[in-house]
Amino acid sequence: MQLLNQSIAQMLDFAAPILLASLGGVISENAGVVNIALEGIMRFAAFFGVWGSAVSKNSWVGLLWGIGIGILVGAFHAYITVKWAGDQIVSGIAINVMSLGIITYFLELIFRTTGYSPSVQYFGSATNRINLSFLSKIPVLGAFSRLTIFVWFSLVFTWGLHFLLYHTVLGLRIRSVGENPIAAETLGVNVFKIKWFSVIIGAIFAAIGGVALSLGTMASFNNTGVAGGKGFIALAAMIFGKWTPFGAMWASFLFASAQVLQFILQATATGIAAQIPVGFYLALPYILTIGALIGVVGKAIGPAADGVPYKKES
Amino acid sequence: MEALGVRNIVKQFPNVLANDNVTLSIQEGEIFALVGENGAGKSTLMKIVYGLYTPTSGEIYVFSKKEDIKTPEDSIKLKIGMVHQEFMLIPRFTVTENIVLGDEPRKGFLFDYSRAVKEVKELSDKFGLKIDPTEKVENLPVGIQQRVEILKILRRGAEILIFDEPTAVLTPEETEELFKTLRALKDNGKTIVFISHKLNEVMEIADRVGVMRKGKLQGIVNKTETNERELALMMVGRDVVLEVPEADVKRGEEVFSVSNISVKNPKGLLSLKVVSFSVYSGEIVGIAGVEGNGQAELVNAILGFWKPVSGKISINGEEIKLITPYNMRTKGMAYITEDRKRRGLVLPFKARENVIMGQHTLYPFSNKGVLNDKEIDTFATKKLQEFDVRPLDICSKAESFSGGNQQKLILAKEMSMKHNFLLASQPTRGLDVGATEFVYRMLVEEKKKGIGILLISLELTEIMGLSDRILVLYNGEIVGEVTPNETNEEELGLMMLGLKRKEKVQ
Amino acid sequence: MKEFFYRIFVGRREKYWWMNLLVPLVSIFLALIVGAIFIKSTGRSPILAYKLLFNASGLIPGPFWRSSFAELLLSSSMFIATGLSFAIAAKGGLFSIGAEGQFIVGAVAAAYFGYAKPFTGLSAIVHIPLILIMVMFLGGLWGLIAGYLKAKRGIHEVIVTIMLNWIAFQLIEGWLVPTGGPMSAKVETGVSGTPYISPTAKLPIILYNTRLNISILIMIVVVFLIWYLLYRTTFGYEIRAMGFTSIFNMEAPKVSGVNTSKRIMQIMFISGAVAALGGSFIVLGILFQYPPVFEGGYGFDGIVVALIGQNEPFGIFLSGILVGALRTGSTAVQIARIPKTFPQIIEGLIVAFIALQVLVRYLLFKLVKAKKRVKEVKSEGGIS
Repeated sequence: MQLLNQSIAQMLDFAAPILLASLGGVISENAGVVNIALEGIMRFAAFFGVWGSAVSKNSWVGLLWGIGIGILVGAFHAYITVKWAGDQIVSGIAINVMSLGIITYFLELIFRTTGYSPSVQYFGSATNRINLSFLSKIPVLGAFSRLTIFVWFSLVFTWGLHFLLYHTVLGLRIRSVGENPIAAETLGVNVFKIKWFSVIIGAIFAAIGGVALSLGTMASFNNTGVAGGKGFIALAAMIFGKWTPFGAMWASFLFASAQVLQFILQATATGIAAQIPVGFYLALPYILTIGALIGVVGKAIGPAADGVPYKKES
Repeated sequence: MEALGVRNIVKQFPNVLANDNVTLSIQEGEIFALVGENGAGKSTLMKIVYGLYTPTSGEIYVFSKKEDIKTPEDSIKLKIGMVHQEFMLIPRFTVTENIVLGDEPRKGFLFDYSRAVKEVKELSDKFGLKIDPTEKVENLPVGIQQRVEILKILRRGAEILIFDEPTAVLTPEETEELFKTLRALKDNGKTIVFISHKLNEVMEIADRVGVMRKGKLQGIVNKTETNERELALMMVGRDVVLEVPEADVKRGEEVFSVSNISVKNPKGLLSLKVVSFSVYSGEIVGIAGVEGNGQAELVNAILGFWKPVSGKISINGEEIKLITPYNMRTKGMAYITEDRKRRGLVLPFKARENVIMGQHTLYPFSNKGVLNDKEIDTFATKKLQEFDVRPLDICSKAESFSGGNQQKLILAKEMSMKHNFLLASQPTRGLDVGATEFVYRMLVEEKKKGIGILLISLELTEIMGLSDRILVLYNGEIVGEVTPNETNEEELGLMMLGLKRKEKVQ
Repeated sequence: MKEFFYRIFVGRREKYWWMNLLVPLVSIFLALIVGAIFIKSTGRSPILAYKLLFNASGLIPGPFWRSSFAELLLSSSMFIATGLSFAIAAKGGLFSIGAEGQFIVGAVAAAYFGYAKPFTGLSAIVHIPLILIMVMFLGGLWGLIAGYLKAKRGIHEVIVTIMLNWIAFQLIEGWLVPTGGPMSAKVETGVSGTPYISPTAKLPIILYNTRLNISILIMIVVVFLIWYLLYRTTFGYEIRAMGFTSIFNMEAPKVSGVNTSKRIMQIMFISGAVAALGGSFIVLGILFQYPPVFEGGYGFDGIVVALIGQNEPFGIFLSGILVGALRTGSTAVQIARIPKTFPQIIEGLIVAFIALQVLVRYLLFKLVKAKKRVKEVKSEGGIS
């Protein structure tokens, strides 16, 4: 029983950053803007979150710093892709490439180290978790008894985004812009404003996901370990989830479960199973993902005008 | 009282002067038709009024007040509405969502969907435009989609309604329905601007007609004081009655046949139901029907894009087991498409690269996989000349050519490949009179050479004028087979709506 | 010879062909300026930084130039490889991020065929081509997986290539290479990672007293071959048609009879093969084994190289050298107290400006127009 709860909790921990970033992708692409810079944004936010926490000795301030850099990077991406109708993929790549360079630069500048930062206040410490210890004896629900706020953020935001997109006026307009921006324009919808909004909110989500990576369960920033492809997995989760918030959630759970499964198998493997080299276990989540893609509908169709730069007719 | 007035409107695009000092005045409560050939500037003018374009210079007056219209939001506020030629609808959304977008009933931030549905129903009842508010637009036939567009602008209280080529996709019956609606709207006090190049319709519905040619306003006449011929003259500057060349060709061997073919569309619905017919050499078989009754399924099945659930397709008597564009072409098929952007051409490719597509692997254009530029150039120059493509620049990218010239490029490409069966799907869509006549001439030339042609078209005059036999497609079935001599447009229209059947008497 | 170059750059009869060259050049220029501003804002000296960077990059002759020149070409050849890999797929309308995985597949394959017993007896003139063929074959297969899934199942290549990168990484560093794995060196030898390759597998050196080997020469040939393939063959013709129409589901080429399924698989195979070739250079020319821990990144950098090179073979050759220069010179900038990942910031900026193509072209256009106007005013005797 403990194992079940522990595993679920672990899964949620893994899933939270991916889900958050994936939600960022969902809102952005529903408005028609592709954002493959989720990886870079997560990295930026992870670093700035640690920096903020170090400076203020308060993890919440760190979170705010992370969100702040997310807004900045999001605005950068929006400036290129919305205002100048630039190539969305190229802009995303630019952000990803610069992230490593800029962060290493700052790491050295501020912390005088080359790969990692010192430990700071983080959300994973016993005092900072959301304690619902009364749940701890109940199966399944027990998993929720000591989670970080990021897991809660990810779940609440999933509901929130779903509600926004499918039950509010703003959500309707966002989706219309991603499907047929010209039609939306003819009805007086401000396409540019909506795209800017969606990109920046998306960046904020991804940034929170990034902070989750460094301030969530760890307490520092590690240059090679952080993000490490999570941003791209978030993209995969978004496509897998057919560009919907709940779809992204289940997809993130799937990926995270595969990771946890791999741990469990490694830990409990006996006999022949113990002989299997660790590489196979580590590769398992990715193999399973491809398998799932082949099994589930292969072709995923996104918003009709996704990725198409919007140029106003003169 | 003047409802809408434009004074000295000039619109300059990078390489074309679309509107050249246009001044006209539309009275309240009238139906004003704006006619002209493709590219005459009528759409552009109205898009300026609607706020999609800004004029290079000139002024707009709405109800006698000078107005500055920068965006559609502005014109909507001024009670101007526009139903566009290409529908501005979101296929995945429902009718209601499409209609209320931009003006949604709300409860705070929430989208009050149920109230929206109610409002849409009320609107639909008030103007007699029946629709199902909860249906997804992508599932609706084109005629109904147009109703959604009209309701969209009525909802915003439009007093001046602009229609851009609204009957392009309607049957005669649906057109009559539309005209009834327009007359009702006029009785309601609305002002209507009707853009079209179909002179017979204009003569029926309009009060006054404004003719545009090459960006300039040629003149305004009262309907009662003019006729089609005169309008045509003003539009083109010469006598225009679409000439279909004479050709008396004897029918020959069977070149193409489909037998008991049934096709499902991507949604899984059976959209072509057990259809059988043949095409013989030296004849043109025309498929008439409203868009969406199985034509797309037929074409895609013949190309091999959609696999038929049953039935077979044969060329020259040989059944084709594995249907792919390559196999069909090797066996003798050529294909003219109406979708120039997607299917007909690779727009960023130069004209010379486009014109050899399909035979690029053959000698002399390539040898063992290596392209032979010289041969390609010679061929391309020859073909562009032969098919009167302008400008005669084989290194120009296809996207830089006008619609008519792009279509000629497609014709040059397809006709120069060896074939004895031609599948022509809406070959004159979006073309002006000159280009259309060219296409007709080419088709008849092919017929004379003994090619069998399957012509799919939405234009009844075209079908009547070109076909030797006409098959009417309704709801995925052939509901009638006639010859042009035995029937008329009215009867065809009835068959296209499923209201009449005429089996071929053997 | 002149006609040859003329044919390539001008004979294409493009109207504003020089524009395509200008955009990356201007982007590079602008990026260097912004980079300088960035350095200045953190209190360091931009001039010193750039001086150190370019002197150490191997581009500029000077003392110790030989070894930096060698390093420059060595790293460039790998960037060119991964750059070509991305570009080939991109020309066909595919977005493949798989170079990273294909690179290490190539590297580990090179190690295996370099140290495996049956092959070590062969003379270098047979051994090396054999290794390269196997490397390209296996790398091609790795790319083909994504190609097959895309062509036959419609699965988006972005996800599959990302997954394949991880799978390759985990299988190699978690199974094949670590101690006890099938490709690890025997414990007695004291070597961690794979065994060292036999001397006959090492790439021949072409510049005396340096590490510079034939890898750059191989890449020059490959660049030419890829160019030829893309622009002179029917294969390339069809690929480019597919690339231009990929947003339309490649309907136009399909309608004309092009077998897009087959072509997609073929492009991904070639793309994988070229990336793997780059990976083999690391083993056959620098490390001479596959180490237990391998720091990657060449695959992802390939995308940057391809974008700066505008997805054109000769452009990639030049941008590969540019990126190689930036990386080679990067250790030197540390003297000016700037971390050695600074070149990546520059690269990112270049890419950002390329994304802002529209803006760049607009500015250029205005510049040209302004010059014209000044000329006119002057000629009208306006300004004395």
